[in-house]
Amino acid sequence: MDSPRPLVHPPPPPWPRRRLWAFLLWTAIGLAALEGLARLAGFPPTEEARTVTDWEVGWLYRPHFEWVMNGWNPRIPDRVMRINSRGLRGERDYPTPREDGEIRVLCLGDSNTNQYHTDAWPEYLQRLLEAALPGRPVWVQNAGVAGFTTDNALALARRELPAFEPDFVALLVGVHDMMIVSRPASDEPLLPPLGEVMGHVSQLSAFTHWIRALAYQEALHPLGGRPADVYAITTEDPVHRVPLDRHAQNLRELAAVCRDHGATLIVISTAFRRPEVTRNLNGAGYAATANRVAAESGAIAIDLLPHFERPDRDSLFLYSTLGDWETDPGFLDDVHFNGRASEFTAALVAQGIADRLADESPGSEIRTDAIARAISSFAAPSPPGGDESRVIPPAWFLQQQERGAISPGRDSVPSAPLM
Amino acid sequence: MLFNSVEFFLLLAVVLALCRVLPFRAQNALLLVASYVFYGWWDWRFLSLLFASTVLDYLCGWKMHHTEHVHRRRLYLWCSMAGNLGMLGVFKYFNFFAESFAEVLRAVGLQPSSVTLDIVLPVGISFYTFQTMTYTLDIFRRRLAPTRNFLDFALFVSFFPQLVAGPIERAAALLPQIERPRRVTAYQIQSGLWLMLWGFFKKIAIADSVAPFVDEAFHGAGNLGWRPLLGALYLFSIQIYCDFSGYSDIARGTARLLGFELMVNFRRPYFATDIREFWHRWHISLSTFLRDYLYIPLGGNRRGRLRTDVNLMTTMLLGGLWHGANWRFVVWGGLHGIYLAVERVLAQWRLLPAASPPSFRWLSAVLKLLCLFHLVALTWIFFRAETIGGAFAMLTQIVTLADPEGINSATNLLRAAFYASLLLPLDLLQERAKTEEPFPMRWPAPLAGLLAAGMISLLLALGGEAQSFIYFQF
Repeated sequence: MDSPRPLVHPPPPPWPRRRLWAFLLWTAIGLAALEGLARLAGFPPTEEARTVTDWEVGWLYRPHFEWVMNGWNPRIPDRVMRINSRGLRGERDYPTPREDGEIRVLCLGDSNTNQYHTDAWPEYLQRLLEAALPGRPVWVQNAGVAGFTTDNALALARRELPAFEPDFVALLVGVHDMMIVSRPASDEPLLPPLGEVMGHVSQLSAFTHWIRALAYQEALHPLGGRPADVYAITTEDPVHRVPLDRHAQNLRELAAVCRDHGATLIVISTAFRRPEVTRNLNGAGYAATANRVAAESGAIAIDLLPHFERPDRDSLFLYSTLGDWETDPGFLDDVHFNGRASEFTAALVAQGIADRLADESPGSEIRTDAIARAISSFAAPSPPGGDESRVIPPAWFLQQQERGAISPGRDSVPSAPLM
Repeated sequence: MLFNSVEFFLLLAVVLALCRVLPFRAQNALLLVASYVFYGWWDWRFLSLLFASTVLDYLCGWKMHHTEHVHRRRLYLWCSMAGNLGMLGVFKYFNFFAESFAEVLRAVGLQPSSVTLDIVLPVGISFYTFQTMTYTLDIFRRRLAPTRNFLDFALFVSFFPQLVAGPIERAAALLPQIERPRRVTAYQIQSGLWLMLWGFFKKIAIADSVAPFVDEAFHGAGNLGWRPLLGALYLFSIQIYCDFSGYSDIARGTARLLGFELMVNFRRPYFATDIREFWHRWHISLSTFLRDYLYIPLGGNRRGRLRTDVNLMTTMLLGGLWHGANWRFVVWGGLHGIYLAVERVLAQWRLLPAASPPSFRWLSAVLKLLCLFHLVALTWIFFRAETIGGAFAMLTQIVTLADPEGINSATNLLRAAFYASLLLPLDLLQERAKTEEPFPMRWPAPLAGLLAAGMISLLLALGGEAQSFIYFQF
């Protein structure tokens, strides 16, 4: 028998322990140096302190917190965000009780309502309503909080309605309901994913924040932008964060809460910049559901999808956030409205409010010229029906289409499978 | 359990802490328990397969060693092969062959009933079955003496740093390290940390960042122009290299922290200038396994040109099939087999370019490198596409420079350039170091520390959602 021949790796070279310690020390010094340089150069503070946990609602902005958005990036205008004592965007709290004859609107939503970079649609709504209702005090409260689903919005409405006593509650949420998650919320893992932990750690550092924000968004977003692309990816068996049936139930409950407090609900179905995102997330299904629930419960339905659908432009690979800052008719990125779209959304809401007020008290003075101007000034998008082949059909969507569960035209969405 | 998960870091921290205080034998028992926890975290039921494979090969190896009777030795070897390959065949290939056979029957007008099994593929089964087979094969060839200690052997089969995605370690290399007491040196800790950092950087900052773009492009390939498709192909070439070599680096680094040495699995394969060199640099543990246990036993290059080419092609086709139960992988392996055969023929007929003058040598090397990279990238289409038809369609769109209006932007090409710019400088420095030890080990501590700090920062900044490693499925 041959003698066994173990495969032997060469022994490690002699290495004094102090070299290991020196390496670890210099790595720590390197991290501190990068961090110090980033802070000395004035890069912005991190985002982790902006929100606080709220056991009832989920999370809200830190009361009385304020921060400068993109004060370091010359391409994006500076903007100071101020949070009131209730954890909502605003310079000050709404007064209680309300004034006589005052019109109050509570605007529920996510980051698209809160808006970091531009005036948000509630601010435009305030101006439009003041112009439309001369002599009447108007208070539009922005209650948008980034990341909110209808679950959060419903909980916030239950808290705010008794104190705020609104006439109208406008709701623009949906993106986070529709978002596809890898597992249902009931099946959360014991430990958070590493990516989430790394995200939290990176938010403690101005340097990594700078790389993420400046290098990543400036350099990579014009090349494609990963965060929003995640919305466009689908799985074979998608799980929405808030599935359609619960989404509908939340809307019904919100309508009931509004009714109990004498307010009228305005449901705004959301829109996306890219048609394939709308499709992958079943945007049409969510919009159809919102419209149906609004009709059932006497709410005002505002459907943004037809106004924003633009199948003739923007393929996945032309996506560019900052490149479109000044030129895009509607969006800052895939999901967030720019100023023009915010104003347009506000105008549609204002029109709905004006119509309802005119119905309820005929003869009252309502001037709708500013509203009409805002609606007409929004550039009419190209008519839908462009070359469908440019839209990238995800495998899941095609599969659903074959089964007849979903059809590409939003008007022909069957109600049964969606609800 | 994924390397890029919080669970893994907790497990590693506990194991490292306990290994410092436990005696050698207890360390092995701890590592065995940790390995079973690591594997069982995914699905504990498949621990039974791992255990069955361990028991079978331990017994076969022991019996084989203690008999001089040739037929009995052969019988034990066949038992080991049948057990391991049978397990692989049932869990990985049964449905593939059943469906392929049914397709053939349907093609001749018959209507076969479905006989597929409703089973999932156990993670890493291809790796640990091959690894454990090296044990019985080497004992049969009298190149290895069996271990007496069953727990040592069980740890060899299940050693968690390389259990689910390699490197496929030879028993002759890993078992001796398990059987003798280990002392972790400062060098192993420092180089292990470097390997882990480099592996996580490749996996998280590059491969995971690239993945969404690749997925989208290959999903919707039929509607895209040649630029986004070519860009996606480059991106996938980067992704699969960073994903798989990243895993191997993390495995080597983790093993070093525990006092083990694993083989180098990747040597910057895209710097190869010919296809043979590529296979000396890509997934080295598999290519050397196939060479030693398949190609050479088939006759290697000792039985004439034609037989050599047949052996090469057989090896590469089976190597392709090892990657997955799909004809796409067979085509991928076949293409590599063809490349190897053509290269051999060209070399024999002296048709390969002669050595360039020294002043043009680097230019010639770059041209060869680029040429080979594109040939390899072409094979990745079949590796990643959803169907063979889809792969051919994508290839056609790229070759014919398909230009549908509106979706032929160069964005993916720019993305590929960006991610290559993260990868290339570090790979170039490693290549120039002419060693497989992490190149910053030779640098002064301040410089190495700054590089590590920069990589950690980039990792944190660019890291996203954890994605599983591509090679787990194989």
